[in-house]
Amino acid sequence: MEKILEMKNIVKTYGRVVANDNVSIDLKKGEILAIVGENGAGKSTLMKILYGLEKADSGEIFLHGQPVKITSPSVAMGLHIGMVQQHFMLFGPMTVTENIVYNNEITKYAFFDKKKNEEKVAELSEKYGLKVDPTAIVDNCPVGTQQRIEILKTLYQNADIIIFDEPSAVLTPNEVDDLLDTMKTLAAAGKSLIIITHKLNEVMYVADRVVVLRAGKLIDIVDKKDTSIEQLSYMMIGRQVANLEIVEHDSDKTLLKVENLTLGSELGKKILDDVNLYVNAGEIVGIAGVSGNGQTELIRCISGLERNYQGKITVNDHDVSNFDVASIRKAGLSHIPEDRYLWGSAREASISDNVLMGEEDSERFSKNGILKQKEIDKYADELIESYAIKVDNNKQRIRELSGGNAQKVICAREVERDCPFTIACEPTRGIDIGAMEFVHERLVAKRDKFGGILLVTSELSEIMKLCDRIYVIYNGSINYEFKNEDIDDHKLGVLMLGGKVDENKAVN
Amino acid sequence: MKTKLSIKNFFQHFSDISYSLIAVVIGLIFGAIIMAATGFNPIEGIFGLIKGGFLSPYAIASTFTRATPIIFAGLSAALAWGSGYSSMGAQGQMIMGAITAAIVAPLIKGPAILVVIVTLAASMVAGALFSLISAYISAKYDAYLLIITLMFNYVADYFASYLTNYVFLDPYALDKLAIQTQLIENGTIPRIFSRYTTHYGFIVALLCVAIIAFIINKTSFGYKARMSGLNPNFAEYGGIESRKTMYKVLLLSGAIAGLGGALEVLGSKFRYVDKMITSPGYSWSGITASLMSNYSAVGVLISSIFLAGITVGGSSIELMMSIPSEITLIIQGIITMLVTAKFVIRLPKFSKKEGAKK
Repeated sequence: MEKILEMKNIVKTYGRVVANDNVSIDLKKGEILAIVGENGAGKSTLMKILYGLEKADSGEIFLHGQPVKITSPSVAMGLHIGMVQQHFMLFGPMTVTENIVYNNEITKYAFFDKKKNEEKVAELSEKYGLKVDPTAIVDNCPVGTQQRIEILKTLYQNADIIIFDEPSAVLTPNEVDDLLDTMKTLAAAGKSLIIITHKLNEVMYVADRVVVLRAGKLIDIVDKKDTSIEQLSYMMIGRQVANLEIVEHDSDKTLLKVENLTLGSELGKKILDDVNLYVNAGEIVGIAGVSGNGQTELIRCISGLERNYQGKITVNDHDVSNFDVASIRKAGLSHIPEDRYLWGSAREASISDNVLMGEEDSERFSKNGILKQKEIDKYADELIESYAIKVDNNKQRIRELSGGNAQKVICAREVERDCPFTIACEPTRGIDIGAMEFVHERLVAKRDKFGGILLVTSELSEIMKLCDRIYVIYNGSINYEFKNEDIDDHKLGVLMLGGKVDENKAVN
Repeated sequence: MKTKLSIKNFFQHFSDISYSLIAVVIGLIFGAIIMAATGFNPIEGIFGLIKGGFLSPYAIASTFTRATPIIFAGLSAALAWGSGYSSMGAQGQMIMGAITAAIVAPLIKGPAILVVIVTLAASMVAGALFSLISAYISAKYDAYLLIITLMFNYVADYFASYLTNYVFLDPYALDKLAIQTQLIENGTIPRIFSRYTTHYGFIVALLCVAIIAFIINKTSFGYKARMSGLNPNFAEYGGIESRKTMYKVLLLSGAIAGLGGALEVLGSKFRYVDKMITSPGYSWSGITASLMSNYSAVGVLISSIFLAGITVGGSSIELMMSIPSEITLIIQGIITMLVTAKFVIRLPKFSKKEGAKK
C-alpha cells in the first residue's frame, strides 16, 4: 500500500518535559493505525502537531511525499486531514446539518439552502453508514450520535486522513461497537484513520498497525497480527500488569442509603423514579447503565448539588436529605466527579489549590480562617508521590498536566480524604491502562479498609472487575440488582437497554 | 533533559505579566505616533511624560496622590472580578463613600483622629451597603451583576448631586456656582510631607494592598473566592456556597471602594465636590489596573501608579511643551482595549468548551 503520510523526527518540548522525542511514524492508504501509550506518553501531542494545534520544535511532515507545513487546523483541513476530538466541538442548540456544513454551506442567492444542505448530509450519512437525523437538534442527540456528527463533519470536508482522539472514552459499550465498525467501513472506503486509545481490546479489534509510545519516545511500530494485548501493555508501561486480587468482605454497617428518591424535571417528567439503593462498608457497588438514564442526576442528589428531590438519603448514619454539599461532605462523603475539568478541578489553579478543595475550613489545613500553606503543600507532595503523578512541583497548574495526571490528582484528593464513603464517577475515563490499574488498586484498598464505594461508570469491564454488587439503572429507575455470584455481562447488557430478565427463563 | 530557552517560551511562561507589559509598550508607541502626527517630537514627548510623572520628588508625590483612589478602585475590582463577579460598581461605591464622609465628618465632635476613624468606618459601611443592593438584586432576580452595578453608578452619582445641591450645599462658598458641600475643618487627613500633596491615605492604600493580598492568597475565604472565580462549577462541587461567597466578596469590595472615596474627601478635597469621582475616571483607571494585573493586589498597586503617573506626566507635557494632555487618555484607552481584548479572547474559548459538553 502507498504511504500517504509520514511524520519524521518530530520533537516537541513543554518547558522541561519532552512530549515527543524524535518520533517518526507513517500512515498508509486505507489502513487504521492505532497509537497507544500511557498518560503523557505524547500521543495527543503528536496528533495535535499533525492537526496544526501545536507546533513541533523540529521535524518534518510529508503528505503524498511532499513536505507540508501545518500551522493551523484550517491548513490541516485544506490538506484533507480531519480530527474527531475527545471533547466535541459542536453548537448544541443548532441542527445536525448546520453543524456539519458549518463554514462550507451550500447557499442559494447568498442564503442558507436548508433543503440542499440536509440532502447532502443525508447522502453522506447513507454512504458511510453513519446514522443521523439531519434535522435533529444536537443537544437532544445522545453522545454516540454527537460523535457521528463529528465524523461526518470531517467527511464533509473531504478528509482522507481522520484522527480519532480517545473516541470510545465517552461511549457506551454498544456505541463503541458501532464506532469500531464504522471505522472499518471508512478504512474499506479508502480513508486512512489514526486512533489514539488506551483500550487495547479495541486496538486488537480494529487496527492494522500499532504505534507504541512511552515517555515521548517511539518504542515500536508493530503489525496487529504479530502482537497481543500482553505484549502491547508490556511495551506501553515497561512492566507486566498485575491482575487485581479482590478480597471478600462482609460488613453490616450501611454507609449510603437512598430511599424512595424521586426527582422530577421542569416538564413534569420523572428523571429519577423511586430509587432505592444502599452501600455497605467494605463494598464496591456499581451503577450500570447507558449514559443519560439518570445516573448524573442520582449522583447530583446524593452529593447535594441537586436538592429539589423527594425521598430520604442517609450517609454514614446521618440523614442528609436535601442538605447542602458542604454538610454532606462533612457527614462522610467524597466524590470523584464525572468530568475532571468541568467539575473536578480549576485548570488555572495549582495542584496545591486543587488538592485543598473541600478541606479549606478543616482544622488540618486552616486555623482561624488562615490557610496553613506549608501543611497544604506537604500534603500535595505526599499525594503526588503516592499516586506517582508526573509533575515538576505542587505549584504547577492543572492545565499543564496531561488528562490522566489531572485525573490522578482528583482521585488522590477524593479517595485519600478521611471519610468512609466515596462516589466514583467515571474514575478512569480517558486514562491509560497503567493509571487505570493504579486508580482501581486505590479504590479496592479503600474498600479493604471498610470504606464504601459507589461506582458509576459506562465502562462495563470496570464494573465487572471491581464490583461486589451492581444496580442496573434504566430510564430513571433501578430495574435490577446483581449480587456478586450472579453477575453476568450478557444479562447486564440487555438490562441496561431496558430489557427484562425472567429469573427462570433465558434472557430475551 | 534540555530546556529550550527562547523568547517565546519566556513569554508563554510569564504570559500574564508580559501581556500587560506589551500592552503598555504598544500604548506608549501609539501615543508617540500621535504626537509625531500632530507635529510634536515624540521622543521628547514620551520622555517628558515619564519625567513629569515619575522622575522628580514632586512628580512622584503628585503621582502617588492621584494613584491613591485608583488603587482602592483597583483593589475593589480585583477582588470582585477575581472571584468571578463582574462588578462595575466601584464608581458608585466610591461616590457613596465620599458623600458619606462629607456629611458625617462635620457632624462628629471630638479629637481629629476619632473623627477620621468614625468617618472612614461610616464610608466603608456606605460603600458596602450600596454594593449589597446590587448583589441582592442580582441574586434574587438572576440578573447580570455587570449591568446592575453599571446602572447603580448613575444612581449614586445623581443621588450625591442631589444631596450636594439641595441639602448640604455650602452656603459660604466664594464661588456661588460651585456645587460642593461645606469644608471639613476637623478630621482631615494630613499630608505626609507638607510640601507635597501626598497624604496619609496613600499609606492606607499600601496597607490595604497588603491586607487584600493576604486575604486573597492566605485565607480560606480568599481561597473560596479565588476558586469561585476560576471555576464556579468546581467551587460548587467542593461545597463552597456561591451565594454566601458572593455576598462576602461584594460587601468587602464595596467597603474598599467606599474607603477610597472617603480618603479622597478627607485627604484631597476636604469636601464633596459634585462629579469629583466621576470626572477624573478613577474607577475606570482602577478597573484597567485590575485587568492589567490579572487581579493581583500587588499588581494593582504597580499598575495604578503607572496609570496615575502618565496622567500626571500628561499634565506636565501640556504645560512644558503644549502637547495636549488628552494624549494620556489615548494611551490609557489603548492599554484598556488591549487588556480587555485579552479578557474577551479568553471567554469564547471557555464558553465554546462548555457548550460542546452539552
